[in-house]
Amino acid sequence: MSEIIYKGNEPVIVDGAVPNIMTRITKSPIEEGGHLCLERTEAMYTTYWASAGELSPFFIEVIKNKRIIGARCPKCKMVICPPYMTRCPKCQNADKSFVELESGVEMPQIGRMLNTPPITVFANARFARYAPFGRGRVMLGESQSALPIQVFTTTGFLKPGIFKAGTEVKIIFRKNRGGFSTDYFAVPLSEVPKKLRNKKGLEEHELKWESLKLSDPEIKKEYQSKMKDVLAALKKFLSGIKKSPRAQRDLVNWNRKILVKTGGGSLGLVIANQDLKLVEKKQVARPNLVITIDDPQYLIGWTKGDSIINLIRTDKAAVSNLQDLETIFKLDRLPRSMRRDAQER
Amino acid sequence: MRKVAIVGAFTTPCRGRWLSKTLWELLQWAVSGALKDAKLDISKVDAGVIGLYNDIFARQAIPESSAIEQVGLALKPFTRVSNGGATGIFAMLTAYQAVASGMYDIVLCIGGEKATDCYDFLSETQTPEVVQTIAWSWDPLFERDQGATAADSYAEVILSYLDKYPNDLKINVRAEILRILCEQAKNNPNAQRRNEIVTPEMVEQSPWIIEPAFKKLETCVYTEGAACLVMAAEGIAEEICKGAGNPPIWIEGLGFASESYWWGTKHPNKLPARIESDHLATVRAYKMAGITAKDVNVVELHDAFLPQLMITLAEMEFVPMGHADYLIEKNIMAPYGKLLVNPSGGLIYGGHFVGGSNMFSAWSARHHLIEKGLDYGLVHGTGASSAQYGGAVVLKRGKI
Repeated sequence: MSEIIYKGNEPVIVDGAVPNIMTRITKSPIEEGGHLCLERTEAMYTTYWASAGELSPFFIEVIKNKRIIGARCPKCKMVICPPYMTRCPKCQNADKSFVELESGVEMPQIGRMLNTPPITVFANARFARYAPFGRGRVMLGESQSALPIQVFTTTGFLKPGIFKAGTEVKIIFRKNRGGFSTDYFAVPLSEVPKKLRNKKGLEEHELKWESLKLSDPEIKKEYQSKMKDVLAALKKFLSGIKKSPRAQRDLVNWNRKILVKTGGGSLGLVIANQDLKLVEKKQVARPNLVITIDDPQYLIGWTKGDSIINLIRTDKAAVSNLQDLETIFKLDRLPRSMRRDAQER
Repeated sequence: MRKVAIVGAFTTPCRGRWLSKTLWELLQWAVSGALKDAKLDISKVDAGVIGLYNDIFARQAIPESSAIEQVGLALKPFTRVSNGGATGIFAMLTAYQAVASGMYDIVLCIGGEKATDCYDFLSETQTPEVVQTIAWSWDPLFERDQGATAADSYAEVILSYLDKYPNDLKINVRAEILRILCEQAKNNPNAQRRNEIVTPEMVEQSPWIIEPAFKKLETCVYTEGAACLVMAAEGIAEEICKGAGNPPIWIEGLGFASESYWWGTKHPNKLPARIESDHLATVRAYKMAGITAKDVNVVELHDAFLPQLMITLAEMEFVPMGHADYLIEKNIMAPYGKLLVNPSGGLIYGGHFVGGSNMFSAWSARHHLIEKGLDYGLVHGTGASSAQYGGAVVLKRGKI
């Protein structure tokens, strides 16, 4: 398995997803009869120069002019956005052909959510760097159809309740646009400064993107009394990484100094050399990432497989840098990796 | 149109993975079992229809081409159907039409899937790659790049239903239905999760996959398996059934509907808070059969996610829209009421091999109609990116 290739800070291809050519002989489970089976790695690829065809004007308008366009039927006045077809399927001409839609109808850049959008926290590898993200549908102007759109909040972790059916949203454009449906996204209008709300073609860098405001956990005696057990559990858990090839692979090419602040006291975690070590907090004086957790007992839960991401999304924990959730995903993967290796042993 | 009956059925055991069997072996096994059930010589079969959902799962374009000889249909007409999650139910429509039209007397309706050869070499698990494969279903220009997942297809339906009916789909009701389905799967020898125990407490503690749409315990499984139904025309069906010792199960009604891909506020767009295709398909099937929901004794429906099962049962008119909780609260569902829902364990506990899941449902409905001496069964399938495809088939137990 090869490593992730970077161009600057951006991964350009997740090369580890591409298997080397390998074969193995595996015994099927007893209930299948314990047959010897050949397994081999395979992959299917197709690459494209994919044309947007008649839908190209929508994307060209987004790239060049930061405009969202729709289409209108001159007969029934139906408006659709995005303009996913060029003829009205309800209206026919005298010769019974479908009526052609008027194209290039400029849509407003403030709209309302059609539904409460689903929020993806556990994204697959292709989208992990965007997580947590929401995908929803926004109604713009007179359009009777909804524009599929990613939704983000400028205020930190995207939690249920920020976007609901009917939430007023503003369309924001990426600075770098390449003709994809991720060139634009929506944020709640209430998070856009009033002076920018009516600006067309608003770009992401014009908004203030807040990270989480971390406040130090309140030190409590009940939490302090748990720390001895917590540290013991952490030491025992982390000592297992050396025995787990999967856990080591989870941490490959990853280096972080993490300060963990709890209501029972602080501790440090250092990821380096495919290992995770517990250290004194002074050893992470300039951390890359800060995690705050009121009740240190949750750290014992993590060693048993509970998810730190779930703690964050339920306000039981917080992180200093939402752009570094990949580190949290890696921490969350460790217990499962170690458990699987232990089972195989 | 001729009357059509199911005269034989078989399903393989459902497994998370069949390491020792290829797709072709699973399909041949299912056909062999169905022929044995009907005590039918393969030479009597005129044609075949096969439901195979996904070429990427199969690692082959036109994968059905490799199965023709194995299923005994070389040199006979063999049609492949692929309609998303509803592939199975639409394959049943195609097989039915082939017989009802008078073109063929006996047709095999086969379905199968082998999904978990897919493997993500980063996480060293199958799920991310299976999910990614399903995610290729989204519109490539306007939607796919935004990160839609397999779960999103029903999450949006469920969330929009909750937008409109915030007091329905209560978690305690969902948990009780899950407990019932899990319990029922224990009586299905082919169920994938027949040894599990699920309590309402476990459901409440289960992590959210998409909050508040569904939890981990409320999702269907990925399954490898295959199923086969033998369909025959009136006049021939009775003869076959006499030989096999089983009553014919008549297909009394069928209904189908496909909604728009694009969501919106008016038709022809797909509307929020609805699985309109399920409603239209079912009422069309009821009308053709001359029955109403009250006549149905057993329903085997496509439960990709538990809250979707509840919405679908409301769309089928077993409970009013917005009051799906009545299934438990008003004692509609067995064991509290008379309506037997997914005695196979459904797709959540029984298994979900996409191309053949709805045949698996029909196999179970037929079994319960015969074993329990019931009159009417309803089989359902749904699928596509926003639960757009709906199909329903009304079955009636006949006499030998």
